[in-house]
Order: sequence, then structure tokens, then C-alpha cells
Amino acid sequence: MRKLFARIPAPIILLVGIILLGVSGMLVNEHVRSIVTMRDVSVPLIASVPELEHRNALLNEQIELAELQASLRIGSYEEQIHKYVLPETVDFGRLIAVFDVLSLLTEEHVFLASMSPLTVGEEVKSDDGLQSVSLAVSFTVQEDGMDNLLNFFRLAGLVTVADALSPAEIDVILERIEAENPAGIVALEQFFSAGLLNYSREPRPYEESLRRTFAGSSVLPLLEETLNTSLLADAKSFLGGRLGQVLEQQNLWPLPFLLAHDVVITPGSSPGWYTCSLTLQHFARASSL
Amino acid sequence: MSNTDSTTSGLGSALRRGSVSLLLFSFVLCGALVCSKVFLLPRYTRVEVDGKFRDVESLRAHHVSLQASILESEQERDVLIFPVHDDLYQSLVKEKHLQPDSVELLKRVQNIADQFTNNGTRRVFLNSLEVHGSDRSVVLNGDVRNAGPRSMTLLAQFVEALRALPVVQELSNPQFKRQVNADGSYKSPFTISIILRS
Repeated sequence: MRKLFARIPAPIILLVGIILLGVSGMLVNEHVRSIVTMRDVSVPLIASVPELEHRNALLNEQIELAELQASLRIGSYEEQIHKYVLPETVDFGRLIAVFDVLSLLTEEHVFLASMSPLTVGEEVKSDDGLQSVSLAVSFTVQEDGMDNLLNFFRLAGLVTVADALSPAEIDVILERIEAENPAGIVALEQFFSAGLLNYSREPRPYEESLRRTFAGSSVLPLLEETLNTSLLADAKSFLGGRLGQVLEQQNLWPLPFLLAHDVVITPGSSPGWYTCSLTLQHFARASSL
Repeated sequence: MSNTDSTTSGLGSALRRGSVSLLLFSFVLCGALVCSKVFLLPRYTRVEVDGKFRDVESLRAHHVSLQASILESEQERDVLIFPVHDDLYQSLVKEKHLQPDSVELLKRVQNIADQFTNNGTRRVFLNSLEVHGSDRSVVLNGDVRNAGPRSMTLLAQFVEALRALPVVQELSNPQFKRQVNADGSYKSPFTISIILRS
């Protein structure tokens, strides 16, 4: 060994030694980085992977159940939407008939005293495949009745129970069902697919089915809360009465899609009464021609 | 001269011995680290997930693919559980849910106005509440009365109370002015513009 190094000049041996030491330093650095990455990246990822895999499996299970349920679904709401809610052309006859029904309410409901003449604007086409017509109308309403009146326009155009729930409300319910009772998706799907008017007029069978499915789990209190605080509660109180009956009798359900764009509330001449002026928009599909 | 030669040769020999020692140490250290990198590091930085040994990159990719799969499954499930799949209709329904609740807003504003009632005498009067759904803006008209020359101070307090409402994102201050009525009483009319949180 000594003879081997004796022939090599000392500075070269020193240089090679320093280079190897430098390479060793780099290797140590790489070891440290690997361990730090393991601690900072891999460990949290490993912790979350089983949870994600579990969630994926649950979702796949829910998809299988939902597919089965969807295949049993009869009738298509899309046809109703195309025909009545978002028709190809604005159906003025049907639109005015809705306000006719509302003006009838002034005789039957104490909360609604009068309705002004209805002013209909021009049809306007937009780039998103829709055309709209603006409608201006004023109502004299009691303070409590204003809720009902504005809810009527919030419900106008909604077809199923799912449509009456906000995306946030739906997300919370789905999350809870996924965590507690994934198979409950079938009952939820049945509930979501219920017609809004049918549910509003006869909510018990739908709600009992939900209660049976989710009895004893924390999903039930959440569902009860949603049923009592969402637009569904307003639908039950408003469409569940005489109005729902009239709309069904006169074949006005589902209602044309109406959006209350501008609402102006001014105090009326008597205490507790208000004038509620609305600018509504009714939508139809814009023909491609 | 001979002393200098022996000193130089002594230094040279020391340098050579030192260099050889350094070289041997570095060589062994480097060899051990290379072995560790090739055989030990992969063994202790890989983990078995889903039946496969994965390094950090592979684990990250697996995590991303799982997240993508969950998103896809969620969309597939949503298509199945929601009976209506008309895009135009769905976007309008979403817009409907984003509309501000005018009645709830009126109740909140009235509650605040009621807080300024003194011995049964109302002091903040609302003339109109305009809610524009398209840009979530609200215009509030009214006036402060029955407060003597303090009507502007009361208006400022009313504005601050409105600004503190959780639904309020932005509030433009009204013009603060005091008008003297024919009977000598004061009033401060106001127009307040509000942008609601989405």
C-alpha cells in the first residue's frame, strides 16, 4: 500500500482525498434531505392515504347503489323543464296565468292586499344560450306576507326537492351521509328526486322514509334542521296550501323560471303593510337561428 | 544545507502521510455513504402503500391520483343522485340560490333601526330598501328624526351598526347633513349603499 502511494505525488493524493471528502459531504446532505422529506412530506401523505382510499371506496359503493336506484327512476323532469320551465320560446300565456293566480290570492290571503298591473319588457338574448323577458310588478303586502310573496318567486321554476336546497346545504348532507351511513344515499336520492310540489303538498311519506333510513344516526338531526330551515320549509307552508292546489288544478306546475332581480320595499300607508316592487326576469332557451 | 534538506523531506513526508490518511478516511466514508444510498436509504425511505413499496415521488403521485379519482367519483355520484342534468337550468338554479334574501335583510335593518328608539319614539325611519340581485347591492333610503340636533350623530351610529352586520361586505358612507323642518325640528336624510357578501 505504501509503495502504491509512494509513486503518486502527495498533492494529488491530498486533492483526491479532499474531492472524496466533498463527495461524502454531498452524500451526507442527500441523506439528511431524504430523511427531512420523509418526515415533512411522506409521513403526512401516508397518514392521509388510508382516509382517501376509504372515501374512494365509499363513493364507489354509493355510485353502485345510486346507479341501481337511478335505473328504477320513472319519468323525466328534463321534459317538463324543456316544456314549461325553460321553454324554447317565451310562453306569455302561461307566464301571465301565473300572475292571474297570484292576483286571485289577494282575495283569499290576508297577507296580500293588491297587485299592480304587470309590465312586460322586450325579449333580450344573451350569449349564454338564454333569452329573457323582464317583468315589473308591485304588490301591497303585510310584513309576514312579504316572505311568502318573495318565496313564491324563489320557488318559481324549481322542479325537484334537490333544486330547493342550496349547494352548501347539499354538500353538508352528503358529507355527513358519507361519514355515517353511505348506504343511505339511496334514500337521499329518492328524496332529492321527489317533485317539489308533490313533496310540498304531502311531505310526510318522503320525510318518514328519510327518518326510517337515518334513525339513530347524526344525519337525522341535520336533515331535520335542513327540512325546517331551508327553502323546503317555505315550499311546504306556501305550496302545501291552497296555492299548490290551484297551481296543480290549472296545470301551472312547474312554474316558469322567474328570478327576482330587483326588489324595492317601501313602507305602506298603514302600519305593518309594505309595497313590494319587483323586477323579475323570465328565461327561455335562445334558439340558435 | 543538509539541515534544510532534512526539514523539507520531513515536511514532505508528513504531508504525504497526512494526505494518505485523509484519502483513506474519505474513501471509506464515501464508500460507506454510497452503500447506504444504494442499499439502506431506499429501504428506509420507502413505504408500503396499497401493496406496493413507494418512494416520496410515487407516494405523491398516488395521493394526487386518489384525489382525482375521488373528485371523479363525486361528480359521477352527483350525476346519479340529482335527477335533472340540464346545464342551463342548473346554472339558473344556482343563480337563484345566490340571490340575497330581501326579507331577512329588511328584518335585520329594521332590528338595528329599532335599537335607536328612545322611550317609544322611533328615530330612524326607513323610506325604502332596494335590493339588486345581479350585483348583490342594496340601497337604503330614510332619515333620522326626533333626535334634536344629534340626528347626524345618531345617523353615524346607525351606519356603524349596519357596517357590523355579517352580511355586509362594503358600505359607502352617506352624506351627513342636518335639515331644519318647518316646525323647527331636525332631520338627517340618508342614502346608504351596501354590497352584500356572497
